[in-house]
Amino acid sequence: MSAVSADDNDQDFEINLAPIIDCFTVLITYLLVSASFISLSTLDVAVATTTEEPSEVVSAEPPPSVYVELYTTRDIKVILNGPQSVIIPIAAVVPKAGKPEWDLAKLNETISNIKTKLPSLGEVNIKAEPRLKYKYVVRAVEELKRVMPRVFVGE
Amino acid sequence: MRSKVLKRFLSSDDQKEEMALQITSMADIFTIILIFLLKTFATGITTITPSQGMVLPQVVRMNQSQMKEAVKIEILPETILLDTKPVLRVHNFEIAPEQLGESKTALVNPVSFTIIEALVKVRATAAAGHSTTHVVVLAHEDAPYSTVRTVMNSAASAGYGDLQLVVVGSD
Repeated sequence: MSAVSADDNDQDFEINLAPIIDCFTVLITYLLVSASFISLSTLDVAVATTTEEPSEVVSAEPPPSVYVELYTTRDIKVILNGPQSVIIPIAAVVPKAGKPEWDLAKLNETISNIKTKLPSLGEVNIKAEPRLKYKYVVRAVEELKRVMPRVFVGE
Repeated sequence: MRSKVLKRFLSSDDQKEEMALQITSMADIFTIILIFLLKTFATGITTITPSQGMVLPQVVRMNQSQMKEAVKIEILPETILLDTKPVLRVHNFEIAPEQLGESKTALVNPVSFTIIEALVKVRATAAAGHSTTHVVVLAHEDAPYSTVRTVMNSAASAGYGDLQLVVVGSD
């Protein structure tokens, strides 16, 4: 006279995984389809502001600073300001057939040499001609970030 | 001899059993894939979606700098967007001269007061304690430096001095 049979009391049961697998398949497919496979990255820079107002405190010896100027002709000029101002021109690399290219390896080498001589120097300012395309500025920033921890973008 | 082997094979118990797909292991694999995908999308820079027509500059080696909570500025050939909303019309990347001015903090650098106003509004609407000085800049690779510089100056004048230039890694 038992109301519950032996089969109903059986605790051994299996979860039906088929609908879970269905959901997972749909979710994974959705995520893969909506995913962007472009690998984006960022370059941290800061804005260098210049004012025409004269500074109240004038130090006897200004700290050294490095400026990198980019020209549309693909020429680069590295200017080291300090006790002695030095201008280092880096000419564009002109292949036998083709357009002139930036000599970024030389730029990297020049900044590395300056950094070796002045280890306290931790930043570099980039200036560029107004018509220069942004992609070239980014390439220069990328190159400088390998040597200098902080890059300022100037006029 | 051959018929004996065939007879034994056909009479084996294995052949009588119903084939059941073992989906437990499949569920395990799917769970791991799903967690991996969700985690990748939640933490990566993939949350940034460039607008249509945007061609970002490429870099040779990827920089591993962490993406911060920031306001997004996009420079496109015909418009400048702030958090996907258009703030300034440009013509072939050129900002109209009447749109340009000179800021108090950066006297010799041109700025756009329209962009400054929009950024100040964003800063004002941001919850207290969540204000940031970071701006993510997505500029078209062919944009002239003068336009990018004007946008950067405007951001700096509005109190956003730390910039993150979004680029595409080629490796």
